[in-house]
This record gives sequence, structure tokens and C-alpha cells, in this order.
Amino acid sequence: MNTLSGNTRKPLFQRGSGLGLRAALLLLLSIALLAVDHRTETFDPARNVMSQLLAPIIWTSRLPSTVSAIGNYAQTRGELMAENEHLSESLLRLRARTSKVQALEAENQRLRELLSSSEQIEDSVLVAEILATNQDPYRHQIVLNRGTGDGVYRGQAIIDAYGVLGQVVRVLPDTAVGLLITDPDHGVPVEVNRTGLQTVALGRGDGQGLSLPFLPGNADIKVGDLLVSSALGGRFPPGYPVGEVAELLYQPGEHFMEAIAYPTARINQGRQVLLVWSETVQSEPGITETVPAMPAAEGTGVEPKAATAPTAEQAGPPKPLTPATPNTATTAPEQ
Amino acid sequence: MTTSIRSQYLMLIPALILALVLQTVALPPLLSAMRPSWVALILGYWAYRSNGVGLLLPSAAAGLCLDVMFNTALGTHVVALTVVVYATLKLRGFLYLSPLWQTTLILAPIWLLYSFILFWADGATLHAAAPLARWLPVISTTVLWPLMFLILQLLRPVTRPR
Repeated sequence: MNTLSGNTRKPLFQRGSGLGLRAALLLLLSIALLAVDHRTETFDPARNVMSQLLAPIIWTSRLPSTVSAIGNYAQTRGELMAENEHLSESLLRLRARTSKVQALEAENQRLRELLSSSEQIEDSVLVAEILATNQDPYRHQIVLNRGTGDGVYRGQAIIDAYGVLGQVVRVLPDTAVGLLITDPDHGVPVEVNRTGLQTVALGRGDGQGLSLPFLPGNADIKVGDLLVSSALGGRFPPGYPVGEVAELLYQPGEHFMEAIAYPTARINQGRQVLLVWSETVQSEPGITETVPAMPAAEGTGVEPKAATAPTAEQAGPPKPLTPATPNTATTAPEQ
Repeated sequence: MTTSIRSQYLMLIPALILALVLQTVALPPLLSAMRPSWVALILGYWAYRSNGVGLLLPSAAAGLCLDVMFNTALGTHVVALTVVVYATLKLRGFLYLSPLWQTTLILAPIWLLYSFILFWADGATLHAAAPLARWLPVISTTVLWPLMFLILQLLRPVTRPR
């Protein structure tokens, strides 16, 4: 045995020294990081910096969809003319409806004044473009091209032309991350339009459905009922369509039933969305994150109300939290 | 040997960036659910090919990038990728001695472990996602391994200092 030279005793596969120790250390560190990041917002500045550094990668991963969009330029003149005709037709139809809505709004305002309940109907909005959608099938998120510079704040409602799309969960200087209503982490207070029943619509996580759990077994809710956003919680502007009930899951003898609804908003279909400023959120004392965000927004000189919303007339100081309307007061205990 | 390592890592960084792009590139929903775990694949290959010195740091960095891009709690992907790198390094002896189809089978549990850790982190952070589709990437990652292995073997620098 003593003829063996030292070289042959070397291990065949050299490993880094203390690999297991280093891996265990890294694991512990990252689990601690996970726990801290889940519970607190300590690392949010670092995350914001990193997401700005990663912007080129996000941009690159959007290239294929950009290239396919370029194909749209090669439309024929005939197609464009047909589309133009269709659009101006629908514009005319919508204008006619809007003029009617204005009269109704004025009437509603007068009636509300009679009831001495103050509620704002018109919200100021800002058009934002969807930069990217989250490609993790378990997280339904979008990245928008508006940030703190535009006065976007955390918790702000995102809508499209057909209904509520979600809310802003993270605001960066130039972009904002929005959580869609179909995400399992998302809940939106809703009201059944037909009966005024208040409940909460949670995302089901399958990218399509909303779930309305824990409805009373005898709740008056039917397939086809329209769900509109309610002012409960003060985060969403009331009255925007959220979904339509598609299915009722009720086991006879159970105390609760569950309704499945599908969002009216065109999830994952548009390129543009609207960010809504609702007055109640700005002045709500309970939501601490949004309060410091708003003076900053006003300080930048970008006045979202005046600059972007031709319909916004209430440019006065933020109203105090609106008292619950008689409607919500009577229906809230049902949820 | 050090120059070889340096050239390995010179390739690793662009490969990881490419993997991050492939992980986030927009696809139709069905394909997106089937998307293989590119970053884990690349790191698994490098753990198999190199001797693993200093591979934990790039894997942690890539994990943090994934966490930021997918808006998961920071550390989620770091845990999963660290486990992938460590397990692959431990199995290198077997992997070297096995033909390609066997390495594919040996590595399948590692991709499963990767998905399981992400699934566990979802549970730990109370993110109640639909769990069924969580396992689809395991299949696509396993299927893709031999293909990617052959392609990366072709791209590998031929001159090996001996």
C-alpha cells in the first residue's frame, strides 16, 4: 500500500469546501428573509431598487408580444375604415347614453341631498397602459406604466371599460404593480345589484372565477345577478360592475352557500386600464399607507383630478369619510 | 482549473439572464402553466457540470431576481434553488456514471422538490393558489432536461485543461 503516491488518494470529484454548511447557512438565511419579508415591509425599498434593475429583463420578455403587435400595423385600409365606422357608431351611441346619465346623476345628487347623505358619483381617473402581466400562473398581477410621479397610491382601484379589474399593491417611481381580482389573495367588497346584499368576492386563483363564500343559506341571490363594487372598506369606488353570478353551490342542510361569479372586466385582454381616485380612500384615517402618498402626489404638480378627468368637478379639499348610506347600513349585517 | 471555472461562470451569467427572460416571457395561459422551471434547469446543469464552487451565490441572486419579478416573498425562490443546487451537487457522482435517460429520471425528484418548496412557501405565506397546476412544470422540466443537456454540451467550450 505504501507504493501509492499521494496523488491517487485525491477524491475523484472535488467538492467545494464546506458546501453543506454553506448551503445550510444560505437556506436558514433565506427562510428568515422569507419570514421577515412576508410579515413586514422592511425590504420593500430593496425590492423596488431590484425591480428597477430588472426592468430590462421585463422589457425583453415583452418583445414577442411587441413584435406580434407590429403585425397589426399591416392592416388594410378597408379594415381600418370598417373599424373607424364601428367606433364612431359606438361613440355616438355612448354619447347619447352619457347625456342621459348626466341628467340621472344630477337627479340622484338632488335626491341624495334630500336624504342628507353625501356620496360622490364621479371619480377622477387616469389611463394607464399594461406593461406586463405576471407569468406565474399562481399570481394574477399586472405592471402598469404609472407610478408615484402620477400620484398613484397603494390600494388604488384599477378598472377597465367593463368593470373592476383589481387594485394597486406596489408603487414604484414610474410603474405600479396591480393585483387582479382573480388572485386568491384579493378580496373585493361587493353588493348584489338586484337586492343590495353585501358580501365579499374573493379570487379563486384559477384566473377566471370569483368566489363568494359564506353567503347565508337563504340569501336572495340568483344566477345572472350582477355584482357591483360597494363602498364598504372605502377602498373601491362604489357602483362599478365586478362580476356576474354564474353558479350557486349549496348543499341542502348547510348553513352557508357559496356563489361562483365571473368578472365582467376583460381580464388579460386589454392593453389599457383606468386608475380611479376615490375620495373616500384619500381621507380615510385607517389606511395608513395611502395617507402619506397623497400629499406627495399633490406636491408633484400632477393633479390627477384636473389633468386627467374632464368629468371631475369636485376639485375641492378631500371630503371626510362618507357616512354609511341607509342602504349599506341595513344590508351590512347580512354578510 | 481556475480559468476553466472562470469561463464556466462567464457563460453562467448570460445563461441565467436568458433563463430569467424565458421564465417571464409572455405566453398563452395554457403554455404558461406548462412552462418549465428554466432557472432551476440552468442551475441544475451547472451544478452537474462544474464542481459547484461558488455556485450558491449566483443561484441566490437568481432566486432573488425571481422573487422580485414574480412578487413572491423574498427568499422563496432562493430556498428552492439552493436545494436544487445542493441536491444536484450531491448526486453528481451518480449523474456522471449514468446515461442521459437515467440522469433525466434521477433529476425528476429534484424538480419535484423545487416545485414542492414553492408550494410550501405559498402555504407559509398564506397564498391560497390552486395547487394542481403547480406540478405541471415538473413534467415539462423533466422532458426538457435531455434536450437542454445536449444543446449545452454542444455549446460547451471544447478545450478542457487536463
